[in-house]
Amino acid sequence: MKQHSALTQGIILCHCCKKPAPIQDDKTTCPRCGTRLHRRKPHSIAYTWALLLASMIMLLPANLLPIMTFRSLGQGDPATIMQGVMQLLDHGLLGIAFVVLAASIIIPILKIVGLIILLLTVQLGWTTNMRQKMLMYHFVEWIGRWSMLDIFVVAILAAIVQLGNLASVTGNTGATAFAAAVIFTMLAANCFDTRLIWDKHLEQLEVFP
Amino acid sequence: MSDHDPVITRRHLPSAIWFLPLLAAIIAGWLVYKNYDGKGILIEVIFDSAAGLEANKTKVFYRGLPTGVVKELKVDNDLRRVRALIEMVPQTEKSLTDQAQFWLVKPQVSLSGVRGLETLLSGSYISFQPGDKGLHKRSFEALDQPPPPIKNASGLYITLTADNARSVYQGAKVYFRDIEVGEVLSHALATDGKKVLIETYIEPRFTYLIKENTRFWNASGIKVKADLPKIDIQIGSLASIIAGGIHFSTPDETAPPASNSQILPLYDDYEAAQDGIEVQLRFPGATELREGASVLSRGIQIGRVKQVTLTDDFKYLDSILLIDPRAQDLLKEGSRFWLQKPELSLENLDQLGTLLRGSHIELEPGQGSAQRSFTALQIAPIKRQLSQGKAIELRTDQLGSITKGSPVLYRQLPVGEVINYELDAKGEQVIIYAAIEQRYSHLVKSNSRFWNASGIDLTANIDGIELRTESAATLFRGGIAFFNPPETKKATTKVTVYSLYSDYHQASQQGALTDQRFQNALKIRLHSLESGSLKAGDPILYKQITVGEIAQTVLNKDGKGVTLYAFIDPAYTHLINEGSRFWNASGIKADFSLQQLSIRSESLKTLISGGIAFDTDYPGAGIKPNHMFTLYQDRITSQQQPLGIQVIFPAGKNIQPNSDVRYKGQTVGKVVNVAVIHDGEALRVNIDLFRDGHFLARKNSRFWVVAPTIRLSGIEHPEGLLTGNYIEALSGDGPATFAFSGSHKAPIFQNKNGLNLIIRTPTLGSLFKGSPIFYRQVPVGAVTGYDLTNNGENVEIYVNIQPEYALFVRSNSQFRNVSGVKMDISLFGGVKVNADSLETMIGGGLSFTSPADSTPAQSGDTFNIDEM
Repeated sequence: MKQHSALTQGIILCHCCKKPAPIQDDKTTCPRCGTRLHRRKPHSIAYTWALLLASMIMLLPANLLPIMTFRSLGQGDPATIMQGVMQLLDHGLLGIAFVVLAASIIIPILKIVGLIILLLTVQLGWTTNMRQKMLMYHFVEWIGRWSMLDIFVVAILAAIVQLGNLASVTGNTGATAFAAAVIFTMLAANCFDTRLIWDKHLEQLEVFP
Repeated sequence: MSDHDPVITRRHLPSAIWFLPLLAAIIAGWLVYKNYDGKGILIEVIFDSAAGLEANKTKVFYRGLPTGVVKELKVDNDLRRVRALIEMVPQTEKSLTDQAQFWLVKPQVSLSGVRGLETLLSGSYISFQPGDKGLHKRSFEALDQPPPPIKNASGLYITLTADNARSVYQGAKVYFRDIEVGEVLSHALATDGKKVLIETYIEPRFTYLIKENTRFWNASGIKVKADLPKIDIQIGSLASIIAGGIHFSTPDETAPPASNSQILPLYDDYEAAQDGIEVQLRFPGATELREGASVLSRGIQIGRVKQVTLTDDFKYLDSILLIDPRAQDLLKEGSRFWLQKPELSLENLDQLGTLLRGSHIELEPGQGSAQRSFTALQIAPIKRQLSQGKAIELRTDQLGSITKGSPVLYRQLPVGEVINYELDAKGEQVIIYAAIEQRYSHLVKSNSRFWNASGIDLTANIDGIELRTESAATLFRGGIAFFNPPETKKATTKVTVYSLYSDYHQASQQGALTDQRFQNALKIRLHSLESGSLKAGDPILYKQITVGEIAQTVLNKDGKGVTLYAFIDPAYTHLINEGSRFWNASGIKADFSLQQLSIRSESLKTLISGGIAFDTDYPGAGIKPNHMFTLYQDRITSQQQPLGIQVIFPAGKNIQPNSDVRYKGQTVGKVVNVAVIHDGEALRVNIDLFRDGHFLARKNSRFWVVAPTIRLSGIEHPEGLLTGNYIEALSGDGPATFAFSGSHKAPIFQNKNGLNLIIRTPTLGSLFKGSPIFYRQVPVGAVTGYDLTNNGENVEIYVNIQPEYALFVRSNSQFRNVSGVKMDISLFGGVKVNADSLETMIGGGLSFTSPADSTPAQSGDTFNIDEM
């Protein structure tokens, strides 16, 4: 079966309304919605790299700084994500500890690693396992929202648990950093144009005009 | 490539998106930097135990602020101690010198207070006290307990020195009048180990209480001091019982205030803290002297033994006495000390006090210059005469239990003592020599009265039982007491010989000399034939209220009567005047007469113990002190105040003792007794005329016996049938006399009121005494009597016309006899019966008619009736 892309057929897909439009020149707009037409997402690789880099940078304070302080009867310390996980483990809450660990640490890292692999695939022109890579991209995009779990927990607790000396929860800078990291990865995943994976392969097949 | 291929120009600048990672890096870097910038200095503190410590949890606090947290705990290499890795806040860097201190604070709940309550929830924490100077270092050793608070708060820091700490620990409070004014900061042994140094902090607002001479004492715990004479339990506040406490007092408020870090002694107890003069006293080695033994001078405690130490060669016992500063004057050269041991023997109980107290030191003051170091006598000295004082001599019959050294008491206060005693030359009396201390010598006056105050004086009477002892000491030791009666005459100090009475009652004349009520009392005398049951102390009653008291009963010198001396309370003197009547109110008086039966007694008390009552019927002139009254046997007698007269009656009519003597129907006297004299020819009747009948004791008074008479016309003097005959009297007008002749018949001519006439008739007819006289058939008078004329030719009838009718009798009035029934029987007139009245038909009577114009008749006029 011959593998073709729309581009090889001289058609550009509108980013906004997904209307296929014939390639005329670079400065055409979508005949339906007036959006500017690009063959591929412009600067996708650079944007993805920049956002990914920012995300990686923000992940450091997110894990090193405490994200939340839970005080009960005057005692309680700011805790980082890892400390929170350890506390949960100490209390024997293995399942919750795993969920938190997965959502807060493993998934962001996996996302970043996945995106790096995709970016490297595009830049270095790797043409192996493209379907698996595509699958990985979908996973990264789908799982990204779940990383906000921690942030929601902190936000809700900080809003609700304000019982003075009895118990109180305050968010810390770690949460901000973590939220930024998650947002950056999500944006990065969004900026990445998956068609680029296939472009190289098609190029090697010399199907491009 | 075609022409219309786009010209591709390369951008040389990187995309703006690359600012994002840069910005993120900056923000993250800043965050991380900021976070780790707060991370402080790592130090190491070595604890003996990690109990209560927890890594990442246990904090370091300075003044309540967290200044660090334990990061890690690890056991020392030699497994003996625990190293805590602590991260301190950067601000503490400068104060982490070798003077900085760390200690673990654990919750501590005790009665004296709750400390570290916050650690109950938060767990223990480490307290940190920064060092302000010294070498910086990073390794410290924790203290076992909190260091003394920093002496930088305002207030007073003083150091107390004590022999032992005795539950005065850190945190023990300092109290003043049971108000907390400070606390013990720390206690430590002095460097030489002989004293305990107690750092004490006084709050700023109380620092003025602490002077240089303030005396502190340990008020911790319960202090029970049991001696035989007393048990003394001192209890501080509950907190001080358990946690210890320090009290203080300042003897001299004017002393300069104490300065910081002044060193003051802390005494063991309140007593030890009391001020006293320290006196060195050396005893022989084998003396049984104990600390705390009291020092007495003349039975008064003036100090105590503070300390007893044996000299190195065991020969002497050196003691330090604390003497009350007030007794300073006793500590003179020549003052003698000795140990008074308790002795008990059957004969001699005079050291009973010592027996209870245990041994004590006796001090006899000397006269020389002041001295503070003495040597005690081996044995008690023979008591010698008081060097100063007033010597007195007492004479008594019996020595009683008085011995040498027995006290002389004045108001139960010893003011002197018995020095010696001896029999006088004849062996009749005991002479007791006593000395009164100089300062009390003015108490002994010339009229002082002494009595033997030994033993128990038990007085039992109707008032109750009175138990009197002077003091427990004199109960056993004997003693002499005295009092001073109110000043009556000027004291002469030369009197030195007194009588010693056997008891207070005698000395005070039954209390008369001392009773304040008698000071202004009215003194009266009462004369009585016998004292009855009256005695000193019995009350004088007025309307059954006690208004006075009998002071004394004295037998008159002639032996015929008794004179009672009595005092009337000043408030009641107005009740007594010359007319007052006194009677013996003792016992029960029963007055039995036909009219009434009256039983009375004044009061239950007088019923048994006697008493005098009085009454004042008439206002009269006041009396002077020592007025003599007569004491009557009873109330009735006193009312009657009888006057004795003697009447000789011819024998014939019965007269009984107690018969009435009447004057115009009123009882004015009573027959006392009747004696037959002159071989039965006459009766000598002694009569008591009552107060109202005194006027009968005059010459020409006449007395006659009245007996009931039963006649056809009636009964005269019917009461005489029951009560017996009585004596009627008629007053005379001569001088007072007390002997009379009486008769059986009433005097015929009686000067009754009205018109008294004499009517002369040949015969008496049916007239009798009491026959009426009619005027127009109205009775206007009565026949009072009749008699034969001297020559026996006529009868003289004595008639009395009542005053209101006297005018109807004229000098030429015609009297006629209306007695009986007059019958005129004539042939032509028939029978004419004429009678004045039924009464005159039986009893007889006289009637008269008066002509219109004539002079009124005079008393004593004589009229004639020719025909009866």
